[in-house]
Amino acid sequence: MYPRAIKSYFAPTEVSEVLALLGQHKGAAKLLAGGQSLMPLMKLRLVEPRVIIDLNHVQGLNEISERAGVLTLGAMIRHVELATHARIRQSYSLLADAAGSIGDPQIRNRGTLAGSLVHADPAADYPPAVIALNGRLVLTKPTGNTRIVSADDFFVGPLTSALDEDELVTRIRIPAPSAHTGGAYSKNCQVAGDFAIISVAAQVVLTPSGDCQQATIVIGGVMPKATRAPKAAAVVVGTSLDEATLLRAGEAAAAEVETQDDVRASAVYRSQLIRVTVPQMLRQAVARARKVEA
Amino acid sequence: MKREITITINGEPYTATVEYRLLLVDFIREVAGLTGTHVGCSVEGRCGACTVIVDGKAVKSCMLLAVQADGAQVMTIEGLARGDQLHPIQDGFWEKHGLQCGFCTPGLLMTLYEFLKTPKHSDEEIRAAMSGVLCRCTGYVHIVEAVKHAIAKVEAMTPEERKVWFPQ
Amino acid sequence: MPNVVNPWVGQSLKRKEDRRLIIGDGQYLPDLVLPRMVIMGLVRSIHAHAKITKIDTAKAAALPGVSAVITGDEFATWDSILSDLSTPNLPGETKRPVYWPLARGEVKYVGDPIVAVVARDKYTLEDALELVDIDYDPLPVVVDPEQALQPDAPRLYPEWGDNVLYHQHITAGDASAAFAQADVVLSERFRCHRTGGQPMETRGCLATYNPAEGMTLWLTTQRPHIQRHLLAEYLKIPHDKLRVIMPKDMGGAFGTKAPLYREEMIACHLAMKLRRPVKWVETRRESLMNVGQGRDQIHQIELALKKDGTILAVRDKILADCGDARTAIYVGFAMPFLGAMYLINGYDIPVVDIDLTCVVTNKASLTPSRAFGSFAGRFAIDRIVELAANALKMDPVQIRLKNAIKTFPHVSAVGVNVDSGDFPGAFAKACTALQYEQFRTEQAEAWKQGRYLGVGFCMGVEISGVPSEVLVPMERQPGFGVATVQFDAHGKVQVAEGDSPHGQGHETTIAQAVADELGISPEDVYVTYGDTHSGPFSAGTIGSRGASYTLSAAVLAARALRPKMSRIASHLLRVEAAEDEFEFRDGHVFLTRDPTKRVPIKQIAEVALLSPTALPPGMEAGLEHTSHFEAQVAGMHSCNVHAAMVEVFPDTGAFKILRYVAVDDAGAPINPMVVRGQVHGGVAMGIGNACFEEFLYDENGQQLTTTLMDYHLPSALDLPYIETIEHNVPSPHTPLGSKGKGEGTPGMVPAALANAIEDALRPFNVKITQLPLTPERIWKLIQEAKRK
Repeated sequence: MYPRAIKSYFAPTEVSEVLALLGQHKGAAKLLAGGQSLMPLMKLRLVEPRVIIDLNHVQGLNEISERAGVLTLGAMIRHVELATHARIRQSYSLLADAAGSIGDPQIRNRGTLAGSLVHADPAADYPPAVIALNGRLVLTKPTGNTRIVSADDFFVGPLTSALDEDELVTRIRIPAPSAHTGGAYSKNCQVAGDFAIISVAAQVVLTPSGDCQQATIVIGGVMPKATRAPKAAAVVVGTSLDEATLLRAGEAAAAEVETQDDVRASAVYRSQLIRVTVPQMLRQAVARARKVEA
Repeated sequence: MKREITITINGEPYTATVEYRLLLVDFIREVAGLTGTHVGCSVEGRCGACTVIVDGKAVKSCMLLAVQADGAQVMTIEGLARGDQLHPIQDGFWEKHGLQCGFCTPGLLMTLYEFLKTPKHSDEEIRAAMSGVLCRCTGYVHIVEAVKHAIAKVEAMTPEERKVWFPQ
Repeated sequence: MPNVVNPWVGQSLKRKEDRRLIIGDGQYLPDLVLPRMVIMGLVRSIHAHAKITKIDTAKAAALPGVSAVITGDEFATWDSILSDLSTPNLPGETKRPVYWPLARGEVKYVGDPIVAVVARDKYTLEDALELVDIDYDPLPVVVDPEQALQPDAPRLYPEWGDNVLYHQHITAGDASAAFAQADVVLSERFRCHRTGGQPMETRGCLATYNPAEGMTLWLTTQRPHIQRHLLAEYLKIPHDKLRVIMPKDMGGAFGTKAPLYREEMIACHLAMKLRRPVKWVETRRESLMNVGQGRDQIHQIELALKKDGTILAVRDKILADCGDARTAIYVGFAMPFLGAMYLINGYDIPVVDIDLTCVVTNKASLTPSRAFGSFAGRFAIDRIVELAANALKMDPVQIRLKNAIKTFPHVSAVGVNVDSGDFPGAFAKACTALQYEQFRTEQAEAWKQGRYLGVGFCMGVEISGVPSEVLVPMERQPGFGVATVQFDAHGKVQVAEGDSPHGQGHETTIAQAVADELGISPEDVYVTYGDTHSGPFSAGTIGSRGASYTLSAAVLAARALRPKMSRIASHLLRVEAAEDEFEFRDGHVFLTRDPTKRVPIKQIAEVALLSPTALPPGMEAGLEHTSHFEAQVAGMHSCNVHAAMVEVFPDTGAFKILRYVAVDDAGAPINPMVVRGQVHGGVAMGIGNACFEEFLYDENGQQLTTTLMDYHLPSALDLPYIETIEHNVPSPHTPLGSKGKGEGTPGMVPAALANAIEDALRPFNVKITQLPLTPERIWKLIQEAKRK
């Protein structure tokens, strides 16, 4: 119900302060972003940080900007911002879809992009979307050393990311889409806003004549983490994305991605959901791609 | 372990020295003594009965530490009415029987306060707006009617009236 | 009946209780604070079945801010909680589990309370709870009710010789003969999962004690008088020195706050021991692990029919999983018992053979949940009737109409009295609303286009309160409704009811009814409740008693004041007139034959209370009356029909409820808006229970549903619009014809939905026999059907 006693609480306003505190307290400190994932863990006492570094007042972590073919997102961008941002909805629909699927309005008001990514829940909404968009995370240490980690490499396993205990995610970079690109994300869950039984992120790039030039399919809700389905994606590349091809892609994804039994659903049912949802998301991605001008 | 904080709730500042781990909902209920905001779940932050407005946004107050709201403007159910006059969302709930036991009502009213700042009109969108607060008594049907009643009132307001009824 | 023009009864008045609730002025248990108050918490078992070998409380007790740490040893002088006072007295074989407020030696389910800790605040309390060290010697676990019946199953209570808590055989007529004569016999097994009520406010209590005045206990309870009555025995406090108060507001209950639980006994004991107020507020985790676990029945049911669809007999072998059964009054099996009695429900089935076995398992005890034990039974009966319709190629509405109770009053084969209702009328309204005949054409078209639409019905009777005839044996308490109606010196009327409403709207509905009787405004009537020291003794708010029993008592009490008020008016007006020559309207009592001759009701009250010298000579002062209401019949009921229209998506098993229509009988609705709210809420809980909510245990008895992220209460996005259509048949037994509402409603839903889904999937020929109705389950049924 209630967290263990916290020894120190800091509310820095600069990234440099955050890094200094991380350097000083690493191991004992937790970064508090939106809190929608961390607070339950603290209340369950599964996590008992002695030091809390509150990121909510830090300047410079809230940008949404597109420059030189790269969309840069600040770590502390709230889900509601991504879900409602006109440019994100238009050109990075995968991300807007995923952000809008998370939890409920109150959760979306507080939850952050980086906070959710670092939590690395296999049934969360961002990982399949950020992987499908070839996102890269910018991580900084107290020494000032910065490394860039691809989304693929960032998720290590259930609730485990590649973030070191003295590292801060400052931004997420996503390559800007070329013309005729469209993406879609949806999840299947027991009640609205719940974690995914499975989820599907699909992105397609069309040729000027409307055939499929590139395709990406990523499946969430599977263990140990969101998984790419390249063989399924390959099924649609070079085709006109007709109905029969989309269905074959669904079959291929169901065969390609290993699913598991758990309290929410059986492996067999998860595979069926993949089989059915992949064509739906491809169809929607194509429709969106067709609306985007060069 | 502790620090002195000041949180302004419904326009009134409350200053206290609190443990870092004190939840915002407990500051509101026990330090400020405003028991209109309710707690309906333990760790999961799912029920939504604790929802309040913090700097204009609906948030679950059990999912924030009180220290995080130091210096913030908070609005609770006790801050909706203006003297004897009910807020449109309160009026809607009363007119349309949008509550039975009343336990989830504070969470719904505050969530819908934010929604009414830029309301949407379809049933689906109204239901989506309240999907973060669980109600066990009403089945939500009358609550949707209550929201529509409130939307009509809000959309008939002048800009000055809006400022009064939506101060943050 | 008062000759009322523009009666308040029947109007959808805004509720009086809302005034305080919508501005945050509700007073719920967690809001209560007393000087020197301390907070109680419990350490609970992490094993489903184990001997406790060691409890180390030293570290916890030593933590600064901790006032006390106690174990089961504290209750060594207590008798077992389940005495004659607190166990049902039903026909059939009953065994009684032995237990005390805290575990003594053994634990029987994950969540069983072992140690109580008291601290200055809830944060310190949680730190202290973590410091308690318990060693266990695990024992074999039994979690499956069928396994519990096996001779080699682990025993919860070794002294019993088996795990059978209760067994009863309910028979009427000769089932063997009826089945032998049948043209068609259907046999099916239906499994209803463990699901139930979870109010948004969890349980809690605040106990304070001093030797001179005794104990005051604020308690989230539906039955303050009954809890007081029982607690006096357990705590060995004289009854006059114990006061139980349900706080002015309670955040729902749905039956979960009706039993007397261990926690309040422990809190009272600690309040006496520490001489400080002790408060306990249940966490949601505790709530999910300890209360609201209901339903959980297996029905092996058989139906015997003539080929024209007439049901000749029903046989049902019911197995109910009662968990550890250690809850006072209900002992886990009262719910399945009542469910068995209500199995045939709205059907006029003359021959009945019901074999009910209730077993204990290493799970939390079954506790009452809205619809009580009838949810599972109604799924079984309305499903097998549907299967019979299929077998006979009869329309599902026709087979129900053929077998529905047709004449009223009707005494069922097992003795349930159904006083009034109209199934044909209700079905007609449901079918009209759905455009049923046209739907069948649309359905056929849709199938051709690869879309799967279906309609399902459920019909039934729902209890409108429970009479003493049933409550006395089942719950050792009376069933009467009672209210004291008394004028105050300002001419306002206080109605003190014995029950304890918590969202049902009594402050408004009772005010409406009493206002009509006395010719005043509901604004001038205030309803009080919940405090054993200022309200008449009564059963509590359970089983849809409000509009049927309690409100009726208030009406009769108000009516009983009229003769005296007329005589006072007559005296004040100096006219010779009989009592029945006066009318009560607009706050006045006036002579019918000459309306200029009138007295304000306020003046009559003043005379009766403040200036009795103005009373007629010899008349006693005061203006109050207490009435007890009970219809002298074995039950009063409403008759209702629900229909669901769904679209099913076979490739995932998902389904969408396109329409849900509830044709509802409230007798004579006091406040139609309030009635609709009850129906909406009941249907919503039914959908939640039938589709999303399941209490899950693994094979070791570990509880897997401990947060609201696991036990899925539906949000506004998960539920459809619920259409309510009135089809009211006044009760012949209540003064206004009103019927109680809300208890039984969830029980309609599982069959209505399952029937609709099966109907939609007719081309696949699936048969739904299990709950919950999850997409995966439906998809698997389709796959199995395809393989055949």
